[in-house]
Amino acid sequence: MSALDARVGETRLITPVIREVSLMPVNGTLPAFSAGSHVQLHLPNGKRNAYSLLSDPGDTSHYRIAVRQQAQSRGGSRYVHEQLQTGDQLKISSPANLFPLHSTARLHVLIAAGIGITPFLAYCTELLRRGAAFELHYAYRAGLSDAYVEVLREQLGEHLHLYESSARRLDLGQLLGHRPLGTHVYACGPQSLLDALREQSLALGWPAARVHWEAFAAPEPGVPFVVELARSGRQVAVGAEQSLLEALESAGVELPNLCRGGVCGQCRTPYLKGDVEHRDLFLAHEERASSLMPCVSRGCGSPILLDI
Amino acid sequence: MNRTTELHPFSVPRYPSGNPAQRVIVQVLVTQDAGQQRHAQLLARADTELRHLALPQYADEAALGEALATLLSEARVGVHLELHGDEAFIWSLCGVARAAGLLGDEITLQCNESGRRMLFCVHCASLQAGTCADLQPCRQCGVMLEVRRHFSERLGAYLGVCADADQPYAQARP
Amino acid sequence: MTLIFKPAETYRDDFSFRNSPAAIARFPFPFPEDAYMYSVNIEPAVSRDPGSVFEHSFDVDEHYLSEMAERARVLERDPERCLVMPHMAQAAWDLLEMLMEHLAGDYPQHFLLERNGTAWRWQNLAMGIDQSFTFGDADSLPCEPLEYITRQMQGDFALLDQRDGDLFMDAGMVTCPADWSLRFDAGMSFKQWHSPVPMANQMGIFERALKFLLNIQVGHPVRRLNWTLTINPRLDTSPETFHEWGSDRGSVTPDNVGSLVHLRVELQHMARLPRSNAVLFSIRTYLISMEELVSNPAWGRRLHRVLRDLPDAIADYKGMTRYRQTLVDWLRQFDPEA
Repeated sequence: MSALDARVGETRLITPVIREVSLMPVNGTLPAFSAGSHVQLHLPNGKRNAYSLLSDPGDTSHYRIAVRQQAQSRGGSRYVHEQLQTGDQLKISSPANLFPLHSTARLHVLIAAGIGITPFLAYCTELLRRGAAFELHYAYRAGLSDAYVEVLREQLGEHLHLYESSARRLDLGQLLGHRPLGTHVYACGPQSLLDALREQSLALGWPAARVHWEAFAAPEPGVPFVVELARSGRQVAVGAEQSLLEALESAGVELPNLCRGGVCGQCRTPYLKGDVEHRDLFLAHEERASSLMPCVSRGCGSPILLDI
Repeated sequence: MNRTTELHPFSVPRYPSGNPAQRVIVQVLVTQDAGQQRHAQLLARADTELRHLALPQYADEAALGEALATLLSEARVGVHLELHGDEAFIWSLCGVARAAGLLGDEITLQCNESGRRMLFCVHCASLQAGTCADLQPCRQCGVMLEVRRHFSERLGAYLGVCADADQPYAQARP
Repeated sequence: MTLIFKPAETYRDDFSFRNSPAAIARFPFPFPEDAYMYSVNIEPAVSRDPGSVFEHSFDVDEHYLSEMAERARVLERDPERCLVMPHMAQAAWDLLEMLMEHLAGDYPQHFLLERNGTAWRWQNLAMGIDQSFTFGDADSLPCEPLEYITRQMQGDFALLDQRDGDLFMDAGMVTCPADWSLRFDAGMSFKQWHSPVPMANQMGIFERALKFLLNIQVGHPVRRLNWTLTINPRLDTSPETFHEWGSDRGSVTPDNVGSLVHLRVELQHMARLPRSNAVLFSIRTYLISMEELVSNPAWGRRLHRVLRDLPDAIADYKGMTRYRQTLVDWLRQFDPEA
């Protein structure tokens, strides 16, 4: 995958744990993108994380992303919060979209929790531009993950429904009930939200084709392990705070990849033996016997022999 | 063409089509005949509300189509539609349902394949009810059509293309 | 290479279309081997071989003005060869932007684009067009944006909407198809509109091709070649007009086969459209008569072997059954080892 050169523009802390970063083109403009797209940030510390683009999809003068400081950061979000400076140059991937708007929907119901708001900021700009029917339901914690509440109030008016955690519960059953036939629902947030959505939508007779979500399964740290590459006989060590994909990239082995979060399936890699802790949401049970997703999955016992 | 098309009937509809959700809140049944047997089967399902529209209760197919459109305009996600009849009947109503916002997964089609089917004459762009014969003349432009095994869900029709370009018209023209 | 447009030629009636020696030299001969089997044969659409059809993403050649006049003629008779479903309006603007940027960048002596925010000025010097308009505002153009720009670019264009893990043919401009109808195929999924292609499904080709196309990324287009045969240099071999041209297939004789039969090669280009997330599927068609083709001895020899050994189902699908033997017999003289 070819990368774009970008320069860090303004960065600002919008809650104690969320930093918004502007990315400017080094020359000319950036590619236009579709709402729901993300880019990968190639950080100087070797980490590459994927972040949703929250800025206006039609605006090619800059991109904006928002990064939440993760308690268990492997170094990506911590770097953005503590070291990234205005004026820094870095590589970013071209925008890719794993969470697009459904083009034939007549009513879009968007459900965001916490930092899961980011793709929906671009959605809302696009839906307003189209004059489409939509609602944004936004659950957050006051003072912590309430980034953008004020901006959205101004921008969206009646489209916006807020759920501050101590004051109002997001009731998915109520939200999904009695919706007209052209409705599609989209969610972005923690796994618990997505699980509840799947359960409620099934109970209310929603077909899977009307329910869309973006899981942001950032890779989590684990114990160090070692893999061997069958074709070359090389050994690659994976650190506790590194993903297998990152370790392979550091060793000069490039694999195709888009989401770096176990969702898109691009980096699927065959293996011949070894114990794997599968952490992805892509592979079917029977595929896991011979394939793994190095963006999130890790070794957990006998050494892994990759068939590359 | 027929010999090879037998091998790749990809765009030919398969019955029953549709992919009903695990739970259906409201089941809408539409039948070309009285449909009493299917009505009874569906009635036996607990916690699903059944609505049944049968063609004999209406003046004609157009009136039935309007009744279905009205019903679906007030329907809510969780509804599943089941259509029973010949291909011309079910695909015309399928178009009504898609226009109302139902997805393919939410529509089950059950078909009597020996009945009428719709034909699209590619030469004059007319949509017409035909039989299940492989060759039939276009009622609009007179070209003798070969009905290809290529089906458009949007039009609810099979593709009809001139069967013999050396002698395109069914009857000699002055 | 300097691009010079030939004087007006026709693709119908008297069929005055001919290739210059330079056009023959750059013809995309599609057979890498002496045998042909349907395959996906997709490669990244990177610029290669300056002067060849692979140099630019959207190739303009000496037939440009004639081909645009032919498109206008087809549309005059049948305006519905161009179709844009309402949810594809944004993809149409994406296509207009992509074509204008490429044409102005690759052929600056013929096409000029000035952009100032959404205020754009487009000049097509070859066709004498000078249009100022507002990007995104369809009322500021003389017609719908997909139709507007594809009346100025050779080849057919289909825009595929990506949803539900599939691609749907929901917009396009198709006036020079190899026997398929946009009007009939509109709204179909990837596998539905490919259903007439023999054998490929059993081979799992469409499953793999679809998966590949769903993953095309912005800035990483791909391309492939496809081919068939056409009697006369007729661009509009559509089902819509089959009752008018289909009988040509019976007119091939040993005496006229060299001038009548044409190899028809499609350079298919597939790209992600950035604003709409739709996929562009463009089909640039090249025609060459057998007489022109055998001026390259290696091509004559190879085409003989390919057509001689082609499976019957593919020959049938490509519509050559009636004259295949006459053609193979004629081509044999260019294959000294046969």
